[in-house]
Amino acid sequence: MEYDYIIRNIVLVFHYFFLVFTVLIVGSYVILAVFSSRETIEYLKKNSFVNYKDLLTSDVAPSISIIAPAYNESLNIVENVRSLLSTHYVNYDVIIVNDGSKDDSLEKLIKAYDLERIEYLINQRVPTQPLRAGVFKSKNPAFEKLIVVDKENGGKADALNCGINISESRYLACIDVDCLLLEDSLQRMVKPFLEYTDRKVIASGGVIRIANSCKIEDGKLLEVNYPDKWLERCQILEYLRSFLLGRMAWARLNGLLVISGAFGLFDREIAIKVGGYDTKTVGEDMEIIVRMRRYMEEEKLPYKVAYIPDPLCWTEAPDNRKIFISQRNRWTRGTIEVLKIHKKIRWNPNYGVLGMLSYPYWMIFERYGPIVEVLGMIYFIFLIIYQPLSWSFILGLFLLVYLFSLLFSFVAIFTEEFTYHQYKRKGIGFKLILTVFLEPFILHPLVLYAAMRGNYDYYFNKKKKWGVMVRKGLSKS
Amino acid sequence: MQFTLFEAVIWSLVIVLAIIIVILIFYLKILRRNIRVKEKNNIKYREKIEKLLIEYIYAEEEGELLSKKQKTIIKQFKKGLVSKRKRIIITETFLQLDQQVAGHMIEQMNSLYKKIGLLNYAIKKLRSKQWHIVAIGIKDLRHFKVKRVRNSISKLINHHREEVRREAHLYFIELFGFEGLNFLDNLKVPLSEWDQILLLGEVENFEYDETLDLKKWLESNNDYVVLFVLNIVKLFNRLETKDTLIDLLQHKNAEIRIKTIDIITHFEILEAKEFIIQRFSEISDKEKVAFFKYLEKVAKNEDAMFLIEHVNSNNFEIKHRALKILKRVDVNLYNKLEKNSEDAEYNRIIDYLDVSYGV
Repeated sequence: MEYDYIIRNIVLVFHYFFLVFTVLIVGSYVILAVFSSRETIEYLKKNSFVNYKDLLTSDVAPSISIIAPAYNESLNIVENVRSLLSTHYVNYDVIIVNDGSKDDSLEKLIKAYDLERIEYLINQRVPTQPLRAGVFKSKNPAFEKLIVVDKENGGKADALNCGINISESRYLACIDVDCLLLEDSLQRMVKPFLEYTDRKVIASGGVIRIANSCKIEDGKLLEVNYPDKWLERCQILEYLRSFLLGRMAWARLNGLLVISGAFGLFDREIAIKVGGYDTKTVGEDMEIIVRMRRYMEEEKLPYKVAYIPDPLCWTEAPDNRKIFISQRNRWTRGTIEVLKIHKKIRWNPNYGVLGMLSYPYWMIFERYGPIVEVLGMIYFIFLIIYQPLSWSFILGLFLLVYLFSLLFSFVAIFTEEFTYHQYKRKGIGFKLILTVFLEPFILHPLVLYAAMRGNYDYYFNKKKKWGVMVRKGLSKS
Repeated sequence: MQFTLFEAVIWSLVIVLAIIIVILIFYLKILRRNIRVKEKNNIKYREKIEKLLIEYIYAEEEGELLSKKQKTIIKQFKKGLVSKRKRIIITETFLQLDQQVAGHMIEQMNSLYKKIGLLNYAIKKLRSKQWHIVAIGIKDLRHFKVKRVRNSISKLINHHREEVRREAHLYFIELFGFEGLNFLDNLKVPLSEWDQILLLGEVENFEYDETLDLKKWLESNNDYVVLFVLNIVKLFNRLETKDTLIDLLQHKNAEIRIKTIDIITHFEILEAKEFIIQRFSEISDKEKVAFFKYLEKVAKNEDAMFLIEHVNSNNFEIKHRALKILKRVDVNLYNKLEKNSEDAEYNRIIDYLDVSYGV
């Protein structure tokens, strides 16, 4: 009797826990959707009549260094660098950090860009691995903006730190070398830094779009296509949801906690003050933002992390399950590490939105969300087996959750259609709808699995670091 | 089959969501089709407008105020203005073409702009309650050089939205040249760096005006005005502001002080050197670095002792510049320096200057 009573109460506790969690997560999605739409409308109004060309010829345009770490990128390095060099901005340089590549990346760059080794006095503001072959510049004036640094391998964060030391610019655009930037991306990304007078913009992040199957020539995006593989299609939908809804809303709240490592612009002075990228975490892109924000909060300086929803940066997404799971596994471990490093700010009112909203959200919904979801499934199976649940209830609940997820995806697609309408071709609409319906069955289980594996690896497989991302190269798409 | 209350709620929500999703699917289909059709129609209409505009420009007949063809074209334009979509396309096409033609053609286009009534629409926009419509209105009026709305726009120079006031400032500078800069007298709000870049872009197009008094703005209470005008001083090499620049080295705003050192470096004003050296210990690191950049241009042998004092600075940049300048102004003294210190940075700089840096 007493045993039954205990079991019933435990079940009840679980019952209410999952109910509250579900209400919170659904509520947060609705609120984020509202904030995101308001921010999107404001952004479009603000920028509908802006002429970015003025910045192209200005003597007072601030300097920007594009820092792109490269590790064994020999296959596409020459084309990728060419794409970076074709950026339309008046005052910038491109720093390629060859992070101890074992392939012939450096040799290819030397040959393609007529590079020669130069003496370069580096102000070692952030500690990094030592140089290997040194610093190179082109003999050809056409490539005067290019600096190539060859150093011992130290990982992505270490390579970015090396770039930070080399740079003398006011802002740092840290990007993945294989990313394709649109020509006016720097102008758009730097605008928030120059616009605010009442607070300092410490970083701005851009939307990352998936370039798989897009037509690209000479580092230029010619045609946006919708891929054939379901994994890629589902990631497109996922990115739309994440970048056009989630991050846009957080930008509105000035609570953005992560800027994609694929493309972000940073205030160099603040980045150096906080010590550059953390080389000990695999979530270095999130970590540096949290640390910069933390620094500003502790110094009581007004600041903002800006966000640009324009489709400026296009990248190659994993096209097979193994690489996808490895990537998401790393993201999960990165999130856990960053939240752990900065646990001081959790529920700490001294850190304002960061401590009371952003951090708790990430902790509850991003960090614990997948675990709660898996537990919820186990609990549900338990109920089906041990409790007299009606099948109409089970089916109804399943459909409710499913339809809600579809609704949120539709909101993301409508945001895309009303704003940038990148997937113009006839027939893609039907494919998008199909993706919306299938994504919860194709991508979501993989995301969940990768998150659980990430948790496992974080606690029981400490040696696991980055994993390998095999690239096919955008130009070959 | 009987539902519990909980089940009934769940199934009701499922039905509602399912209906919404079905509606959204159809709406998405319609929306995508509409966007495609609209884009196609817009391209077609834009081409038509471009053609009409060019025809209008070339249909001018000598002696006549308006040729028959021009009158017909005006009618066609007026017909299009009723639709908001078409009105936007007409305005955009006007703006686009306006930048591609020159001389008499610009005048013709500006007069056509007024004749078809687009001007009234632009003026009407100034009264809108939506700030971005007001900004677009000012932009249109600026592009078509409509000077008679000057008074209305002058009320917007301190508008609470930066986008509106930015357009207002650009209106004054683009249409009234240096005289337009007078809006700075009444500016009570900040001028962001973005604003300054856009304004300087316009100022660059001005003919040099010797009578322009920049001094009053360099003494403005609005720090943003001072920063902006410092850029103009540099742009037009207004060396006569030298005394004011030296005064600005004591300004309460650090950003202004740093900018002033930058201008002084540009002009290589020697009088500033002693002034800054005297208060060197009080200034910020950023000012110190700016000052050493200045010294790179103006330092002489007599500054060697000052440089020696800073070769062991904690700031890498100051240390590097101090050593580099010292090597240039007094190589004998530089050679007497310890070449091996406990400071690794110092050693690296020395090594760089001695081995690789060819002075």
